[in-house]
Amino acid sequence: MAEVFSKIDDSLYQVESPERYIGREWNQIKKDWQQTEIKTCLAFPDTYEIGMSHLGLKILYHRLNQEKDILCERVFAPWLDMEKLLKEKGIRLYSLENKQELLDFDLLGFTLQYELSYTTILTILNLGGLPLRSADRDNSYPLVIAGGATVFNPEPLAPFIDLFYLGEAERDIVRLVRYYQELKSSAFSREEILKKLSELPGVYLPTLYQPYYHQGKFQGIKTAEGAKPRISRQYIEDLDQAFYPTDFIVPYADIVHNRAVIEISRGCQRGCRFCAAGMSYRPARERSVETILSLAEEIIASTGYDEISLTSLSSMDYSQIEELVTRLAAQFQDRNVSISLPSLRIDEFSLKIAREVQRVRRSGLTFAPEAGTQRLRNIINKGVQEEDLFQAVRSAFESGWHRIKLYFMLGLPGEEEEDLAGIARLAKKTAEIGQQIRRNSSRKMRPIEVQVNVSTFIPKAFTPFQWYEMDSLTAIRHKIEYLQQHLTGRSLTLDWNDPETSRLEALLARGDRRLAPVIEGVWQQGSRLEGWSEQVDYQRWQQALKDFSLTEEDFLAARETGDPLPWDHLYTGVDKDFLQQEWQCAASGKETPDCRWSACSSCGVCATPHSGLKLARGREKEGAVSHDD
Amino acid sequence: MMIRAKFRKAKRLRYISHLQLLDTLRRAIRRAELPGKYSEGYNPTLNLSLSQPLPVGMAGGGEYLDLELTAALEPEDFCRRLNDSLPRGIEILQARLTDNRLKSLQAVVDRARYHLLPPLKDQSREVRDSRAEAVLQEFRNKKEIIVVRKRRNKSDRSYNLREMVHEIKTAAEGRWSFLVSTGSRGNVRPEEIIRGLQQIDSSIGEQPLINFYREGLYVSRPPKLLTPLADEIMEGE
Repeated sequence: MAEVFSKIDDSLYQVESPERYIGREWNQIKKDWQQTEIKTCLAFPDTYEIGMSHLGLKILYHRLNQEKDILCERVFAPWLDMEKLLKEKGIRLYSLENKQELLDFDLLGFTLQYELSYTTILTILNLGGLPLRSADRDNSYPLVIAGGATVFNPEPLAPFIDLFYLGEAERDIVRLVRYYQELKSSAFSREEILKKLSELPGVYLPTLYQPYYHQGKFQGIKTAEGAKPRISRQYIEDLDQAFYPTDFIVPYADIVHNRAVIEISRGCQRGCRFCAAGMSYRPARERSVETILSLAEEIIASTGYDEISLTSLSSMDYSQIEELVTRLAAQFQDRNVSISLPSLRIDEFSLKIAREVQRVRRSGLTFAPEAGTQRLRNIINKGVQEEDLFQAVRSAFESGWHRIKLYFMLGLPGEEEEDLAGIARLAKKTAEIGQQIRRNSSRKMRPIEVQVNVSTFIPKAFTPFQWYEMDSLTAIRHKIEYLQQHLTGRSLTLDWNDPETSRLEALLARGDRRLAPVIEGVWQQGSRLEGWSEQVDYQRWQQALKDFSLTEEDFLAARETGDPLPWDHLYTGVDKDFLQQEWQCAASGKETPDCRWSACSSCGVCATPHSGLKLARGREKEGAVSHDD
Repeated sequence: MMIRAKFRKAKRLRYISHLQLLDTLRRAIRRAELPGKYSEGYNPTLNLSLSQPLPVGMAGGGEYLDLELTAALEPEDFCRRLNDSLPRGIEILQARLTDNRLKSLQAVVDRARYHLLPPLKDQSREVRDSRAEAVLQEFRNKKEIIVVRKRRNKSDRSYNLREMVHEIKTAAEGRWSFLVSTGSRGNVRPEEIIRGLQQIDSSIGEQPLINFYREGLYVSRPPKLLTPLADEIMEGE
């Protein structure tokens, strides 16, 4: 046991949920510290429970540990009580496996899952004993890299991170780590090492790209000589052949997803215009049914979980979902293993699948119409008809589900009062349908519950709505009040996201490097773990912006399509022309259909129309996907 | 058919809660593919039950579990297979199979033995040992030691701790050993032992839970003290 841990071991009973800090879970991979040459640590800027629910972290952990000469350990953000304890005891943040200080690793990799975790990155760096800014770290410090869902606008974090990795890292991470080790053991300076690493595909070295401003406005990026003109997102072409772990760590704590998670597909082509993941994770790629069945078998045997969760951006769009679910259910029928699907599409087919997996205990189902009227759903390209929703909820109530959650967004482009009225109307109609079914039902049914959840739309980078403005606080609050007044009645409840938190998320999602000192400023005053609502101090952010002569509107106001964007030097694979074209289609309410079952929409991600789509259906015919083009 | 086993929860695993321990054992039983029986109903779960919870932070050397089975298996086999599927820190020590209907562990267990690092600060070993003996003797001699129990959402309550301490002695390495009532028919919390000791020697300070060790859980059948695996208990009602 490392010395660092022995100083704190006997004090852990003083902190909440001490099991967060002990490691030693089933399937944890602890390698010989002395004997393993390359030492890497994955850092997640939130608590253990949140981090251990993140699939990307697990994939990279097991991928790196597959290599004999590489060890990969984990570190999560300590809760405030543990941070205090670490400071009192004078010890640095340590990894869970070998209980080693972060300083002793060659490489520290951060997961960027959501914007409000940025301050927590600074907490981990600081408690680990690393200077916050890349410029203040020399070769004796671990290389700090970051990647994940919000990496497509990493600019606010640029000064703190040495390198960003754009896209899916499981294919090339080993190459990157080995190359770094090789460079480190030669005589290169830190600057030279970073430069050489930046030549690898997907690697973004921010110091080579300097933004410039004029009168408080972002004007563009000056690219250093010899640097790549743009950094392209990397992705796995054939998901079916891609690495996927089966020996998942089994946490003691009741984490968010304490079950066997199987990623059945990646990417989504539905083309919802507000959805950053749907735009940036293209093309849609699926694992084959056979692969999924065998992964399920191995994961259940290795973990002892009693629940399998099929995960993807849109599980119902998996081309062989019916076959998959039927066969999975049959395979685990007598073994007390249940199957869950996180996301349901709004149609009768989805209900059929849901009935298949949830033979017993039907309690709640979630649907996401996103907007209250057909006009607005056309603008956002959410191809859902009102009648589909009513049909789906009718079917759900008739099948025994009594609680329906409906997800909507506020502040979408083109939103008017009738759209808010539409949310109330859809919810009320849903409740009426349920109550009617319950009254006429011959079996006993629990009271109908319709839970309406509204979140505030955030115009994110690399979506067709990236030019649109974020609603003001006053506007958001008015809309929530409107819904509070109009969404009343038996069976109905309304839930909404905190408007201030949404504004902060938008600020960091759309910001540029001028926000870095703001992040550092609020962090110094105590901001951290802001994914937890009680930890968000909006006034502090407001003050910090003021201190640096910035305003929220500098980042949240509407932009012209011709305006340079802080993320223009990054490339997700989807063309800016396509995003602009989609923005225009939105303005005229024109829908763009999913290219999986219609013509190519020329988003730019496939070399030739549909060539990037790798679906489970048709795989037997040498992976050919037939389309009439 | 049922198997009852004794296990140890120690080292870092003393930091996992009772519910987490239950989940950990359930998953280990599934990994080991042991023939555990599941409950009927909407949400089938393994019929596994444990003895009285250990406080988070305290290690235990004689904890017990009951698992209903659908098929017989050798107790040694059970121990070996389950141990192979458990994280380090939890160890199955002994098991017995029975067809008899047994009272649940929490109903039958009524004694717990706690070991405590001597809470005296004297420098020299000799002084400490003799003072320890004096403190313990005085504890034994008392007829009444009233301590106050703080109860969540309820008013405080006083009770005579002395009545519920059944044996006081010194164990290995000079540790103080207290056999106390536990369970629904009278329960002593470890921190209340400290409060009792403080009435005898006011220099004794607060003791963190990790200074305690629950050596074992027992069943009192005067004049005998049995373990839940004893013949008399395994024979059933």
